[in-house]
Amino acid sequence: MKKKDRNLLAVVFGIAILISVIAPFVASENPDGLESTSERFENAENKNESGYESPLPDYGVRGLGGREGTSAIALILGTVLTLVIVLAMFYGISLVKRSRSRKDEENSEKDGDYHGK
Amino acid sequence: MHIPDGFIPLWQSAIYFVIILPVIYFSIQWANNKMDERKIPILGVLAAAIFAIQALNIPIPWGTSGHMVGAAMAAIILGSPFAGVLLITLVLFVQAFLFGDGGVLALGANILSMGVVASFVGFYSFTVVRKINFTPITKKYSSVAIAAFIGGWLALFASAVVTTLQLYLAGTFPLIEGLLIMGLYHAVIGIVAEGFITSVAVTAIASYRSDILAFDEKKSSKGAASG
Repeated sequence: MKKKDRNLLAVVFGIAILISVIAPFVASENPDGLESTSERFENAENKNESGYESPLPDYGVRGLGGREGTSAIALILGTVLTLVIVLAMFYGISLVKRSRSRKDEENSEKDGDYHGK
Repeated sequence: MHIPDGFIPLWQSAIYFVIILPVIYFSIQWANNKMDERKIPILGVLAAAIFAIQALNIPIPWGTSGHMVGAAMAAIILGSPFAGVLLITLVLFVQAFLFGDGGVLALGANILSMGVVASFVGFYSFTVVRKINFTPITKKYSSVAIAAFIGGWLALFASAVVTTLQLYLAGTFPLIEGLLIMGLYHAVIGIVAEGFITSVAVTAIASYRSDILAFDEKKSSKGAASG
Protein backbone atom coordinates (compact mmCIF):
# COMPACT_ATOMS: atom_id res chain seq x y z
CA MET A 1 0.00 0.00 0.00
CA LYS A 2 1.27 3.45 -0.85
CA LYS A 3 2.40 5.55 2.07
CA LYS A 4 -0.15 8.28 1.41
CA ASP A 5 -2.94 5.70 1.37
CA ARG A 6 -1.79 4.19 4.64
CA ASN A 7 -1.56 7.66 6.18
CA LEU A 8 -5.07 8.55 5.05
CA LEU A 9 -6.51 5.34 6.46
CA ALA A 10 -4.64 5.86 9.72
CA VAL A 11 -6.03 9.38 9.99
CA VAL A 12 -9.60 8.26 9.31
CA PHE A 13 -9.31 5.41 11.79
CA GLY A 14 -7.78 7.80 14.30
CA ILE A 15 -10.76 10.10 13.86
CA ALA A 16 -13.07 7.14 14.44
CA ILE A 17 -11.29 6.34 17.71
CA LEU A 18 -11.38 10.00 18.71
CA ILE A 19 -15.11 10.12 18.08
CA SER A 20 -15.49 6.94 20.15
CA VAL A 21 -13.74 8.63 23.04
CA ILE A 22 -15.57 11.94 22.99
CA ALA A 23 -19.04 10.76 21.92
CA PRO A 24 -20.13 9.71 25.43
CA PHE A 25 -19.25 13.18 26.65
CA VAL A 26 -20.63 15.34 23.86
CA ALA A 27 -23.36 13.29 22.24
CA SER A 28 -26.88 14.45 22.97
CA GLU A 29 -28.65 12.59 25.74
CA ASN A 30 -31.99 13.16 24.10
CA PRO A 31 -33.66 9.97 22.89
CA ASP A 32 -33.23 9.46 19.17
CA GLY A 33 -35.97 9.93 16.59
CA LEU A 34 -37.33 6.40 16.86
CA GLU A 35 -37.23 6.34 20.65
CA SER A 36 -38.92 9.75 20.91
CA THR A 37 -41.65 8.63 18.56
CA SER A 38 -42.20 5.34 20.34
CA GLU A 39 -42.57 7.08 23.71
CA ARG A 40 -45.87 8.43 22.42
CA PHE A 41 -47.32 5.04 21.59
CA GLU A 42 -48.28 2.51 24.23
CA ASN A 43 -47.78 -0.50 21.94
CA ALA A 44 -44.09 0.24 21.70
CA GLU A 45 -42.54 -1.89 24.40
CA ASN A 46 -39.06 -3.34 24.47
CA LYS A 47 -39.12 -7.06 25.05
CA ASN A 48 -36.15 -9.35 25.06
CA GLU A 49 -37.76 -12.07 23.01
CA SER A 50 -34.58 -13.79 21.95
CA GLY A 51 -33.33 -14.36 25.47
CA TYR A 52 -29.97 -13.10 24.29
CA GLU A 53 -28.14 -10.79 26.66
CA SER A 54 -25.50 -8.65 25.02
CA PRO A 55 -22.19 -8.41 26.91
CA LEU A 56 -22.07 -4.62 26.98
CA PRO A 57 -25.67 -3.46 27.06
CA ASP A 58 -26.55 0.20 26.75
CA TYR A 59 -23.11 1.52 26.15
CA GLY A 60 -24.51 4.84 27.19
CA VAL A 61 -24.05 6.22 23.75
CA ARG A 62 -27.55 7.34 22.95
CA GLY A 63 -28.04 8.88 26.33
CA LEU A 64 -29.39 5.68 27.74
CA GLY A 65 -27.28 5.72 30.85
CA GLY A 66 -23.96 4.21 31.81
CA ARG A 67 -20.90 6.15 32.83
CA GLU A 68 -19.03 8.07 30.16
CA GLY A 69 -15.64 6.50 30.75
CA THR A 70 -16.83 2.93 30.36
CA SER A 71 -18.91 3.99 27.37
CA ALA A 72 -15.81 5.37 25.69
CA ILE A 73 -14.01 2.06 26.23
CA ALA A 74 -17.01 0.15 24.92
CA LEU A 75 -17.12 2.34 21.82
CA ILE A 76 -13.41 1.97 21.16
CA LEU A 77 -13.86 -1.77 21.45
CA GLY A 78 -16.75 -1.67 19.01
CA THR A 79 -14.85 0.50 16.55
CA VAL A 80 -11.83 -1.80 16.55
CA LEU A 81 -14.01 -4.90 16.38
CA THR A 82 -15.93 -3.49 13.42
CA LEU A 83 -12.66 -2.87 11.58
CA VAL A 84 -11.44 -6.39 12.32
CA ILE A 85 -14.70 -8.08 11.33
CA VAL A 86 -14.98 -6.18 8.05
CA LEU A 87 -11.37 -6.86 7.09
CA ALA A 88 -11.77 -10.53 8.03
CA MET A 89 -14.90 -10.88 5.95
CA PHE A 90 -13.60 -9.23 2.81
CA TYR A 91 -10.15 -10.78 2.91
CA GLY A 92 -11.91 -14.07 3.59
CA ILE A 93 -14.03 -13.63 0.47
CA SER A 94 -10.99 -12.84 -1.65
CA LEU A 95 -9.07 -15.82 -0.22
CA VAL A 96 -11.91 -18.16 -1.11
CA LYS A 97 -12.06 -16.62 -4.57
CA ARG A 98 -8.33 -17.07 -5.10
CA SER A 99 -8.28 -20.67 -3.91
CA ARG A 100 -11.24 -21.45 -6.17
CA SER A 101 -9.53 -19.97 -9.21
CA ARG A 102 -6.37 -21.89 -8.38
CA LYS A 103 -8.40 -25.13 -8.22
CA ASP A 104 -9.99 -24.28 -11.54
CA GLU A 105 -6.57 -23.77 -13.08
CA GLU A 106 -5.34 -27.08 -11.69
CA ASN A 107 -8.43 -28.87 -12.97
CA SER A 108 -8.15 -27.43 -16.44
CA GLU A 109 -4.47 -28.45 -16.57
CA LYS A 110 -5.44 -32.01 -15.63
CA ASP A 111 -8.08 -32.11 -18.33
CA GLY A 112 -5.48 -31.11 -20.88
CA ASP A 113 -6.80 -31.77 -24.39
CA TYR A 114 -10.13 -33.04 -23.24
CA HIS A 115 -12.71 -31.73 -25.64
CA GLY A 116 -15.70 -32.86 -23.67
CA LYS A 117 -19.34 -31.95 -24.06
CA MET B 1 -33.47 4.19 14.11
CA HIS B 2 -32.54 0.81 15.47
CA ILE B 3 -35.74 -1.10 16.16
CA PRO B 4 -35.40 -3.02 19.44
CA ASP B 5 -36.78 -6.48 20.03
CA GLY B 6 -40.40 -6.57 21.12
CA PHE B 7 -41.55 -3.97 18.61
CA ILE B 8 -42.12 -6.41 15.75
CA PRO B 9 -43.89 -9.81 15.92
CA LEU B 10 -41.54 -12.75 15.45
CA TRP B 11 -43.11 -13.92 12.23
CA GLN B 12 -42.61 -10.51 10.65
CA SER B 13 -39.01 -10.40 11.89
CA ALA B 14 -38.48 -13.72 10.12
CA ILE B 15 -39.92 -12.34 6.89
CA TYR B 16 -37.52 -9.39 6.98
CA PHE B 17 -34.59 -11.80 7.32
CA VAL B 18 -35.87 -13.70 4.28
CA ILE B 19 -36.22 -10.47 2.31
CA ILE B 20 -32.68 -9.30 2.95
CA LEU B 21 -31.02 -12.66 2.27
CA PRO B 22 -30.96 -12.31 -1.53
CA VAL B 23 -29.69 -8.73 -1.22
CA ILE B 24 -26.86 -9.90 1.03
CA TYR B 25 -26.16 -12.67 -1.46
CA PHE B 26 -25.89 -10.19 -4.32
CA SER B 27 -23.79 -7.89 -2.17
CA ILE B 28 -21.31 -10.68 -1.51
CA GLN B 29 -21.32 -11.47 -5.23
CA TRP B 30 -20.44 -7.84 -5.88
CA ALA B 31 -17.60 -8.09 -3.37
CA ASN B 32 -16.48 -11.28 -5.07
CA ASN B 33 -16.61 -10.07 -8.64
CA LYS B 34 -16.56 -6.34 -8.92
CA MET B 35 -14.84 -4.99 -5.85
CA ASP B 36 -11.23 -3.96 -6.13
CA GLU B 37 -9.29 -5.85 -3.44
CA ARG B 38 -7.11 -2.83 -2.85
CA LYS B 39 -10.20 -1.11 -1.47
CA ILE B 40 -10.59 -3.58 1.40
CA PRO B 41 -8.65 -1.46 3.92
CA ILE B 42 -10.90 1.48 2.98
CA LEU B 43 -13.94 -0.69 3.64
CA GLY B 44 -12.63 -1.64 7.06
CA VAL B 45 -11.78 1.87 8.10
CA LEU B 46 -15.03 3.26 6.68
CA ALA B 47 -17.07 0.68 8.61
CA ALA B 48 -15.21 1.55 11.81
CA ALA B 49 -15.86 5.25 11.17
CA ILE B 50 -19.55 4.58 10.57
CA PHE B 51 -19.78 2.64 13.83
CA ALA B 52 -18.19 5.54 15.68
CA ILE B 53 -20.21 8.26 13.96
CA GLN B 54 -23.43 6.44 14.80
CA ALA B 55 -22.54 7.11 18.43
CA LEU B 56 -22.59 10.85 17.90
CA ASN B 57 -26.16 11.87 18.56
CA ILE B 58 -26.84 15.40 17.43
CA PRO B 59 -29.60 17.29 19.25
CA ILE B 60 -32.59 18.42 17.24
CA PRO B 61 -35.72 20.23 18.44
CA TRP B 62 -38.54 18.56 20.36
CA GLY B 63 -36.22 17.00 22.93
CA THR B 64 -34.97 14.56 20.36
CA SER B 65 -31.65 13.72 18.77
CA GLY B 66 -30.42 11.91 15.72
CA HIS B 67 -27.35 10.30 14.29
CA MET B 68 -25.99 9.56 10.88
CA VAL B 69 -26.54 6.11 9.41
CA GLY B 70 -23.70 6.33 6.89
CA ALA B 71 -25.06 3.94 4.26
CA ALA B 72 -25.21 6.59 1.54
CA MET B 73 -21.71 7.79 2.34
CA ALA B 74 -20.32 4.25 2.14
CA ALA B 75 -22.16 3.46 -1.10
CA ILE B 76 -21.06 6.70 -2.77
CA ILE B 77 -17.42 6.47 -1.73
CA LEU B 78 -17.13 2.79 -2.68
CA GLY B 79 -19.16 3.15 -5.85
CA SER B 80 -21.89 0.61 -5.14
CA PRO B 81 -24.99 0.31 -2.99
CA PHE B 82 -23.90 -3.28 -2.25
CA ALA B 83 -20.93 -1.87 -0.36
CA GLY B 84 -23.32 0.11 1.81
CA VAL B 85 -25.42 -3.01 2.43
CA LEU B 86 -22.44 -5.04 3.59
CA LEU B 87 -20.89 -2.37 5.78
CA ILE B 88 -24.13 -1.39 7.49
CA THR B 89 -25.03 -5.06 8.00
CA LEU B 90 -21.75 -5.71 9.79
CA VAL B 91 -22.03 -2.54 11.88
CA LEU B 92 -25.59 -3.47 12.89
CA PHE B 93 -24.44 -6.96 13.86
CA VAL B 94 -21.75 -5.58 16.15
CA GLN B 95 -24.21 -3.11 17.65
CA ALA B 96 -26.93 -5.68 18.26
CA PHE B 97 -24.81 -8.55 19.58
CA LEU B 98 -22.22 -6.65 21.53
CA PHE B 99 -24.16 -3.68 22.79
CA GLY B 100 -27.83 -4.59 22.59
CA ASP B 101 -28.32 -1.58 20.34
CA GLY B 102 -31.12 -2.72 18.08
CA GLY B 103 -32.74 -6.11 18.62
CA VAL B 104 -31.05 -9.29 17.42
CA LEU B 105 -34.36 -10.55 16.09
CA ALA B 106 -35.06 -7.14 14.57
CA LEU B 107 -31.78 -7.25 12.63
CA GLY B 108 -33.53 -8.27 9.42
CA ALA B 109 -35.85 -5.27 9.63
CA ASN B 110 -33.02 -2.91 10.54
CA ILE B 111 -30.73 -4.18 7.79
CA LEU B 112 -33.58 -3.68 5.32
CA SER B 113 -34.17 -0.06 6.31
CA MET B 114 -30.68 1.20 7.17
CA GLY B 115 -28.64 -1.15 5.01
CA VAL B 116 -30.60 -1.86 1.87
CA VAL B 117 -33.02 1.03 1.41
CA ALA B 118 -30.62 3.73 2.60
CA SER B 119 -27.76 2.45 0.43
CA PHE B 120 -29.78 2.15 -2.76
CA VAL B 121 -31.71 5.39 -2.34
CA GLY B 122 -28.57 7.28 -1.35
CA PHE B 123 -26.40 5.90 -4.12
CA TYR B 124 -28.85 6.30 -6.99
CA SER B 125 -30.11 9.71 -5.98
CA PHE B 126 -26.50 10.87 -5.76
CA THR B 127 -25.81 9.42 -9.20
CA VAL B 128 -28.79 11.23 -10.72
CA VAL B 129 -28.36 14.59 -8.98
CA ARG B 130 -24.64 14.70 -9.69
CA LYS B 131 -25.38 15.05 -13.40
CA ILE B 132 -27.29 18.27 -12.86
CA ASN B 133 -25.37 21.43 -13.57
CA PHE B 134 -25.86 23.70 -10.59
CA THR B 135 -23.77 26.58 -11.91
CA PRO B 136 -26.76 28.81 -12.67
CA ILE B 137 -27.80 28.51 -9.02
CA THR B 138 -24.53 28.69 -7.21
CA LYS B 139 -21.02 29.13 -8.41
CA LYS B 140 -19.54 28.03 -5.12
CA TYR B 141 -20.72 24.47 -4.60
CA SER B 142 -19.97 21.63 -6.87
CA SER B 143 -22.51 19.16 -8.10
CA VAL B 144 -20.78 16.54 -6.00
CA ALA B 145 -21.35 18.39 -2.72
CA ILE B 146 -25.00 19.05 -3.46
CA ALA B 147 -25.62 15.55 -4.83
CA ALA B 148 -23.99 13.95 -1.78
CA PHE B 149 -26.08 16.09 0.55
CA ILE B 150 -29.29 15.17 -1.25
CA GLY B 151 -28.26 11.51 -1.47
CA GLY B 152 -27.59 11.44 2.26
CA TRP B 153 -30.82 13.21 3.13
CA LEU B 154 -32.97 11.01 0.91
CA ALA B 155 -31.27 7.86 2.19
CA LEU B 156 -32.01 8.74 5.79
CA PHE B 157 -35.54 9.92 5.11
CA ALA B 158 -36.38 6.86 3.05
CA SER B 159 -35.08 4.52 5.74
CA ALA B 160 -37.12 6.40 8.35
CA VAL B 161 -40.24 5.93 6.22
CA VAL B 162 -39.50 2.23 5.82
CA THR B 163 -38.93 1.87 9.57
CA THR B 164 -42.26 3.57 10.23
CA LEU B 165 -44.04 1.28 7.79
CA GLN B 166 -42.41 -1.76 9.43
CA LEU B 167 -43.64 -0.58 12.82
CA TYR B 168 -47.10 0.17 11.45
CA LEU B 169 -47.33 -3.34 10.00
CA ALA B 170 -46.22 -4.63 13.39
CA GLY B 171 -49.09 -2.80 15.06
CA THR B 172 -46.63 -0.75 17.08
CA PHE B 173 -47.05 2.65 15.43
CA PRO B 174 -50.14 4.25 13.97
CA LEU B 175 -49.57 4.97 10.29
CA ILE B 176 -50.27 8.67 9.75
CA GLU B 177 -49.10 9.94 13.12
CA GLY B 178 -46.06 7.68 12.93
CA LEU B 179 -45.13 8.92 9.46
CA LEU B 180 -45.65 12.55 10.42
CA ILE B 181 -43.52 12.41 13.56
CA MET B 182 -40.79 10.12 12.24
CA GLY B 183 -40.82 12.07 8.99
CA LEU B 184 -40.46 15.38 10.76
CA TYR B 185 -37.66 14.22 13.05
CA HIS B 186 -35.72 12.54 10.29
CA ALA B 187 -36.20 15.38 7.83
CA VAL B 188 -34.24 17.48 10.30
CA ILE B 189 -31.75 14.73 11.21
CA GLY B 190 -31.22 14.22 7.49
CA ILE B 191 -30.08 17.81 7.19
CA VAL B 192 -27.85 18.21 10.23
CA ALA B 193 -26.40 14.72 10.40
CA GLU B 194 -26.66 12.57 7.29
CA GLY B 195 -26.76 15.14 4.50
CA PHE B 196 -24.16 17.41 6.02
CA ILE B 197 -21.63 14.74 6.96
CA THR B 198 -22.11 12.80 3.72
CA SER B 199 -21.56 15.95 1.71
CA VAL B 200 -18.47 17.03 3.65
CA ALA B 201 -16.90 13.57 3.54
CA VAL B 202 -17.53 12.92 -0.15
CA THR B 203 -16.50 16.43 -1.22
CA ALA B 204 -13.33 16.27 0.85
CA ILE B 205 -12.33 12.97 -0.72
CA ALA B 206 -13.27 14.23 -4.18
CA SER B 207 -11.15 17.32 -3.66
CA TYR B 208 -8.05 15.74 -2.17
CA ARG B 209 -8.10 12.06 -3.07
CA SER B 210 -10.41 11.63 -6.01
CA ASP B 211 -8.36 8.57 -7.00
CA ILE B 212 -10.09 6.70 -4.18
CA LEU B 213 -13.56 7.42 -5.45
CA ALA B 214 -15.28 5.13 -7.88
CA PHE B 215 -16.57 7.96 -9.99
CA ASP B 216 -14.30 10.28 -11.92
CA GLU B 217 -14.51 13.67 -10.26
CA LYS B 218 -12.71 15.43 -13.09
CA LYS B 219 -15.18 14.21 -15.65
CA SER B 220 -18.17 15.14 -13.54
CA SER B 221 -17.00 18.67 -12.80
CA LYS B 222 -16.76 19.63 -16.48
CA GLY B 223 -19.32 22.33 -16.93
CA ALA B 224 -20.21 22.36 -13.26
CA ALA B 225 -18.99 24.95 -10.77
CA SER B 226 -15.37 24.53 -9.83
CA GLY B 227 -14.28 23.51 -6.33
